[in-house]
Amino acid sequence: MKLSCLRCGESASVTCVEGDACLVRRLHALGVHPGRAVNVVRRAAFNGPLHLRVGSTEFFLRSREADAISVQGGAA
Amino acid sequence: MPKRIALLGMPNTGKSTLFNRLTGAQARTGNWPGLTVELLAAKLPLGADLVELVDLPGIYDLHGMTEDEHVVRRFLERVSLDFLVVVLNAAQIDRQINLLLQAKALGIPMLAVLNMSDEAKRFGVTIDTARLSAALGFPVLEVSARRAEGLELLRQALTRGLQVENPVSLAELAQRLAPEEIVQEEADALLRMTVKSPRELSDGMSARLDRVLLHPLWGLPLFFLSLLLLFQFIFTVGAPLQDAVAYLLDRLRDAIVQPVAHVLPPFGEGLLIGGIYDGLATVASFLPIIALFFIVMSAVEDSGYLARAAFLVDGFMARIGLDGRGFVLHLFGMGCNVPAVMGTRVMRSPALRALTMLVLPFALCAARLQVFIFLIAALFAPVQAALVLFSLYVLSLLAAVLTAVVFKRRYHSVEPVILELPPYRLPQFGTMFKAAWGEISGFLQRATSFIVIGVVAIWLLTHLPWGVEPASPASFAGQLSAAVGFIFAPLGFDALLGVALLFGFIAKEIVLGGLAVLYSVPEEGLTEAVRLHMDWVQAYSFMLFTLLYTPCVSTLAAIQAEGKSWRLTMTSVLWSVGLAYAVSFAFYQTARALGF
Repeated sequence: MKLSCLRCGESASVTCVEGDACLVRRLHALGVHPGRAVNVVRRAAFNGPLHLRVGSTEFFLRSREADAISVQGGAA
Repeated sequence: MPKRIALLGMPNTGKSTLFNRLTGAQARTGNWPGLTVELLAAKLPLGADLVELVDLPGIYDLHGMTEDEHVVRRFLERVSLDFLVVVLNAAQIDRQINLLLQAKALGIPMLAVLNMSDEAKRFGVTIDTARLSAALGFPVLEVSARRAEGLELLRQALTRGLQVENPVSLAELAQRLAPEEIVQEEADALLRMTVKSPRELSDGMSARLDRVLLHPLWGLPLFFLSLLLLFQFIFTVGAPLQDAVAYLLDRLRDAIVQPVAHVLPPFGEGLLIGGIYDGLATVASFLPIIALFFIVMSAVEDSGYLARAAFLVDGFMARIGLDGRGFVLHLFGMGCNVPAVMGTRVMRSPALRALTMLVLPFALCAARLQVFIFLIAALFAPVQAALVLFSLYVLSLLAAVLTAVVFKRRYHSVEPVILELPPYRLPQFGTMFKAAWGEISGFLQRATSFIVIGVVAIWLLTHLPWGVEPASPASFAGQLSAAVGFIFAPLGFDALLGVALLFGFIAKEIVLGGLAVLYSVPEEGLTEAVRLHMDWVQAYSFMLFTLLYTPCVSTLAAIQAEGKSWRLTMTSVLWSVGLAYAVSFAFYQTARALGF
């Protein structure tokens, strides 16, 4: 399923990152690649960006970019 | 030819702090062949040698596609290097190790610095540096640049490292910099072998602060409240300092400059005292406020709150065709629009850059702030002062929003938005003052010649043709203001104000110095003169116009240099002048109609 399906506070394991090559490289550099756990910390108001945590790195990205990330629910 | 070392690392690794720690304060920006941007470089004494240390822009990926990543590659391809230092945030070694491995593949003699080792401990991350170093084949050092720990060992390692000749030619390097597939296995194996980190990585304090500061409901109000408080602080502390500087400069004029200038013929004496000195003194008396502004700004940036501000507003910014970074640049633009316009380089999409550049000149910059602080202090009660200033900030944001909404269809973009949220950190006094000093000296360098030329031109206009009563209708300024007076009359400006505004196009700092010259009063008399010439309605209308009308020449030059489009630059001028006129007109006529 898509990362954007996760609720705030939920974690899941990344299965696949696909889309624009530049976006994939940037996400990889931030630690988002298959096998890693992603935690959706919160979502900003006005349907704003998602606050994510991967390892000790925190960053935000918009829902559209989050759709590039597929996850497997339940994993931590 | 001194040996050359480059610092490479991701954003938010404390690379610049390390650079400053190693080199002291005397860094300079240098131009490099084939590079369009300036990079910071400084001399670093190592043993008996003097070595050049270059601070490369922070990048995520040696083979990435952002402007900064291109810059780093072009630098490595064109500038010969003896040694490479890769700076990593130790707490984030789980992902930053990829950049280290990319750098290793280049083959240049190098070492790795695990910076923020204190922060890594807070996160519970432990790294076996000896094993990591053995596996990588180069030294790995733990350092805390903020606490100045581990620097001596780093210097010794650099001295040893420089004894080896760099075997890689520039041509070979260019080949190794070509894009490659991402290899994750090597990084994962290294991490398993050398790094121990807890399962759930979170710095408890940052998470707790974020729960309050990034709250969906209170987050934004808290942000605007803290902005208001910061401005109140700058105003309360800055105003007395400003008076003190003005007083000292007057003393200096009466005691030294006046007697010395007296040897000149009257016209020359007038030009020197009434033109150059009084104009410069007016500007100089605002330096304390500008310094305070930058100290506060750099503290907020250091603390990690600025990235949070981008997070809070991104949802809204997306609606007007911009993003959270544009908002942060807008905040930087409140110092000076020029670096903010240059900062749009972080955006890849030309359309997004163009739209952001159209919006940025509405950021209320230090030059305009100085005009406003003066007029507000002269015409409003102290209890109203902070509110009046705050209203101008709100209006500048509204003008920016309106601009984005009007132009977002023409400059439409779909650039991905990803921004790091570093842990909260206590700002450091050294960094704050260094940032303030850098901005002030930059401001003085950029502005001084413009200001002197502008103020002298205004003085000449008010005192020529030969023998006229200064600033009288017979002077050039009087004739000019009679000619343009009908344009400004509906806005409530007296004709001389119109002339000051015309010159303000060169640099908005000139508006005040120009006013002092136009009213032919010294600095301490300007308050009285202003009270005599306008009431608060006229003053507010004048401030609205100054806030919105045309970016100054330096900002326009930056927009043209960055956007490379005359159409964009002209749009910026015409739109802002039109908006300024419409807003001032509406305010002045409405206020008068209501009987104020």
